[in-house]
Amino acid sequence: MRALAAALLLLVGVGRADAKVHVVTSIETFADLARRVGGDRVDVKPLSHGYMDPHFVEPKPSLVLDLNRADLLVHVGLELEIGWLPPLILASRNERIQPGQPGNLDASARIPVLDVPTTKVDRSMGDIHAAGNPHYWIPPENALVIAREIADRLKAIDGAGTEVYTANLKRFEDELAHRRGEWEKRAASVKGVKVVTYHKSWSYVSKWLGLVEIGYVEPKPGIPAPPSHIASLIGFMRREGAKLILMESFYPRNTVDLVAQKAGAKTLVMPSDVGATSDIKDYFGLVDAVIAKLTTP
Amino acid sequence: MLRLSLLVVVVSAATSARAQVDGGAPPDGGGPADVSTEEIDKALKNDVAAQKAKAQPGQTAPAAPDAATAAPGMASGQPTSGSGFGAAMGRIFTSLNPDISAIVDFAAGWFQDDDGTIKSGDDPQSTGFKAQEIELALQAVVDPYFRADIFLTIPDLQGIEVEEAFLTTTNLPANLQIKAGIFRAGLGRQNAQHLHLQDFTRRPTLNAQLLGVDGLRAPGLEVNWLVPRLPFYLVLSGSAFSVGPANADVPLQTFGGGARWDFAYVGTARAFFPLSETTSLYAGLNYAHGKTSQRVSANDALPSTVDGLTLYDNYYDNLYGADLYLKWKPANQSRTYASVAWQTEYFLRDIPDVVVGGSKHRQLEGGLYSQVVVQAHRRWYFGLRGELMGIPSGDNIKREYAGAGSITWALSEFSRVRLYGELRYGPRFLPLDATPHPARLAAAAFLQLEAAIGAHGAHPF
Ligand SMILES: [Zn+2]
Repeated sequence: MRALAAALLLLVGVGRADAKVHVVTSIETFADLARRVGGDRVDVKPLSHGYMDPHFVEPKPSLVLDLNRADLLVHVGLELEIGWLPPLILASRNERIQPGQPGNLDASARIPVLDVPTTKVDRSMGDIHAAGNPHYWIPPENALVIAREIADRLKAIDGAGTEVYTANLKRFEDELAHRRGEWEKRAASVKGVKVVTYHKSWSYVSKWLGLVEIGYVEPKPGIPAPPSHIASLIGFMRREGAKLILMESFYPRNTVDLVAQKAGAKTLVMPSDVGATSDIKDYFGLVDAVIAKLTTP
Repeated sequence: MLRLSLLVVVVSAATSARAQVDGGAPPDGGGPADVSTEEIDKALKNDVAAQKAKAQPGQTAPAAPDAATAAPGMASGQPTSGSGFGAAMGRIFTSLNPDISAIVDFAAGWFQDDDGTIKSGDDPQSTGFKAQEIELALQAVVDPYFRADIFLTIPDLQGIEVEEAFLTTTNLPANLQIKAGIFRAGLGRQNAQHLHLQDFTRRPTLNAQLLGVDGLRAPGLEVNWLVPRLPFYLVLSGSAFSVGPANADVPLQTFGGGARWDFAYVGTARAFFPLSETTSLYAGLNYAHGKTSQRVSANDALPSTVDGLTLYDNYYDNLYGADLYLKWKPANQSRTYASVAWQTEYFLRDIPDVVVGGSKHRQLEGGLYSQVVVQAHRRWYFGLRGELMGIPSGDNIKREYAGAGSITWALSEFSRVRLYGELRYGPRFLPLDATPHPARLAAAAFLQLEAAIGAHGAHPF
């Protein structure tokens, strides 16, 4: 017992030696944005990887260690991580990142949210996102909102770095503005193209690039689509001439391939986050890859 | 605004996480599709016929999606359309209410030996249709210092119980956290878990035989500490509980005896090792110290003594335990939705000096269970469990073997159906009867239905 007390005192007594701001993010895209804004002043770690389904990350206790050290947690919000993140935040024993603290950044706060239910919802509609669509981080205007929010929080947490964060944010804004024009030029050909998506996770990209979503393979999140839905979807795709099905790599492929085959459409396995494939290393790479997928014939 | 939830409110079956799949790598073989080609072909014919019938009154196919032709889930059929700040702000205001959820567990089935089988408080209590448990959860952040979790439960329609009601600190320094209220002790793995986190319809009898029908659950205080600066997760905890005396005619309860100041003290160490991205090991060492409690309703029966207390009541004792949880689950599951989890727990009770027949002797008794749960498909889970009680055996814990199997069909994140069967070989449990009984074989089988409504819960590891 005495040894334990001594160990406790020793460990508690040791201060935080390194001066970097520890940023933890729920998804890899946010980690890249935080690195861009934070530069050398931050040390960034994502809790999940781009090839994982962000709705269902395994809440491993090892993630508690990352959260325990965090000065800033950046998460998607809108209940995307509701199934795994809240218990980890509590278990982190880290006051800085508890809800309501400056170190807890819900990145959706200033995003113009799409697909907010306007009628009463219940779970006969499946495991729906009742607070609105949380899959918002790909379009440049939203990435900019997120980067600005991260910069604001970093300045609040680490005032000494204010100028650095402002400069880094400016650099990101400039590069983003430049790339945005390029992306929109490249994607001009997909404007008005009718698509079907697996999960309702492409609303923001569709809105940005002008894709027309005519249906969903998974009409009720988390509920297997009945054959009648699949059949009417196929029939509808045929009548509408929809030739593309968008899905993430972490969703089951079989039903999608069946629909694609019957409807004469092509399945595009889309990256939805940095790290979705090993060659997508940052946010720009992610958007490049999304547009490349959509525009490759 | 995110809500914290320490204990979980939802069925523990889920579609889940992933492993790296290179963009567009086609699944060779892969898991079974949700629907078959034949089903689709049949449905397609029906759909075509329906479209024709609809087109009859002189209408041509619509050029744009509209609600009349779109199936549920088509773009126009989505119950969503609003956007922007107004809608986003709405959720912030409403979230000041606590998260409320309810879970119901119904079971129907049969115990071959209804009276001679030891049961936990949330097991189906007998043969027939059973409202196994109805649980209501209220969870919220109290203020910047605490969060509160309240779980009310009605087991077997027998009155309302406070299963747990506790505060957890959120801002203590030095990685400390305090839990205060009535709660399930983190002694081993399943003691702290609610019924809906169990992979089987009934719990293994280990905790019911050692700790009472509800395991170790009592008013108390826990201090736990996440050990900093280690390369792995390690949490140490110490707690004290005021355990109530045992119910009459149940197995010797390890704690709850003595005077009001005879607390049960619990110390645990839990460590987590991510062996790889897919494989994790979660292990615990457990120790508890307190006084035994046992009562019988009839005084003349052996081994009872006066006042309904038995020979074994009111002795200092120690409980030693170890638990292990090994889980394999690919980070990107989409091809197979496979996972495997192995869980095992052992407890050993040491009563250093029981006086039986005028002489002191030490009584060591223990037992274990071990279970494997395999997720074989997105919605199907298969479980096998073995119990070995009475290692070592003694006056109170007899040698007993049990095997159980379960098949769980998770219809969604929020409901599931489970078929459960068990076979048990050992003596009947008869608290008022000291004469040795021969071992007998007893079977039990249940069909269980579980559903969760309300706030979306989180799954603990
Ligand atoms: Zn989603």
